[in-house]
Amino acid sequence: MHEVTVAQSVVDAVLGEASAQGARAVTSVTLIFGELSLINTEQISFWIASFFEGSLAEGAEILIEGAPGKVECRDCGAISEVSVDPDDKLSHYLVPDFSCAHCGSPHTFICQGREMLIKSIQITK
Amino acid sequence: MHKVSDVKMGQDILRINRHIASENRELFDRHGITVFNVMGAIGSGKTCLIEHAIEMLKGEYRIACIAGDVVASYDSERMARHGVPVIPVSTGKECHLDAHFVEHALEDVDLASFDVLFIENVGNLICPADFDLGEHAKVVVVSVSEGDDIVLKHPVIFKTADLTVVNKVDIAPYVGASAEKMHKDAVSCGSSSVILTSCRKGEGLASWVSFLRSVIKGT
Repeated sequence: MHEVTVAQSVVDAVLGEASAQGARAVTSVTLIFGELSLINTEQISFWIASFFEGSLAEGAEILIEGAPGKVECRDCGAISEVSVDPDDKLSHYLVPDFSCAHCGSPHTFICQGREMLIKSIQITK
Repeated sequence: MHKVSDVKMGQDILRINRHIASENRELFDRHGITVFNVMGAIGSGKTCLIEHAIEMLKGEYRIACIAGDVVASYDSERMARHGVPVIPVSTGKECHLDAHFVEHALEDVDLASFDVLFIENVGNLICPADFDLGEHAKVVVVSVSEGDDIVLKHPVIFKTADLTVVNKVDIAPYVGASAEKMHKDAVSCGSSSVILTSCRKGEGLASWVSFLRSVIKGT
């Protein structure tokens, strides 16, 4: 249940930025969660919205974008996309294929898809 | 009308954790300390494996432990019985350690007094995977009693593991699990190395220590 910890970090960063910008309100927040990050996006939206209550971001729309998982091959150097279904909210329960799509080697490392970013916020002044 | 504007942030949500983790790693490197982040479910056998590692390595290296748990005193007492310093970190409600917990755990410790640090990381297969602590190697412990489909339910943590330990293999027939299937699944998820152990019977412990030695020598 680390969604609460991550939600709190998002809320602190968004409110900090909004106040630095002199915002009257935050109307939307766009986040990016890589498809191999172990975050449940419905849960985190719920917690962010809860923590926003009573702040200048209360009621802000929370938009979440994905980023496909990618692996880099230690043998041939190729970068290939990890095949998971991005529409499946429970995608981390399925088994992604981490092998290199070019040479088939299992010796790869995840080079994209575990990121968690605050992409942008929309504010009114 | 109020002016509406978009503010680009591009901010890494875990940036503070990443920053503290890299500071922890620099600190460990400066003091020549090799650090193992031992993850796995509650009851998978993390404490027992660490106890065996202490016994088998304490003649060669000076060892210390961080016992991270919801209530850390129980595991901490077990490790301390082997004559090594243990720093208990009670997380209270958190299911994982983060770099910040580790940073504070080390505040009152003489870093010149040990060469190897084992961090026991609370207990589950989801949350710890997203948090770098500043370790040199990640170990994931999984026991056969968790069911032999457990590895395929948590592919990311096994993909990022430097070592997967399939533990309690002696009881596999009694819980209807195949340790071989778990071994194969961990390999197919991309775990760098996989061993089978039974702490009770002493099986596979030589491979466990041999992995630890290879990491210690490489750092």
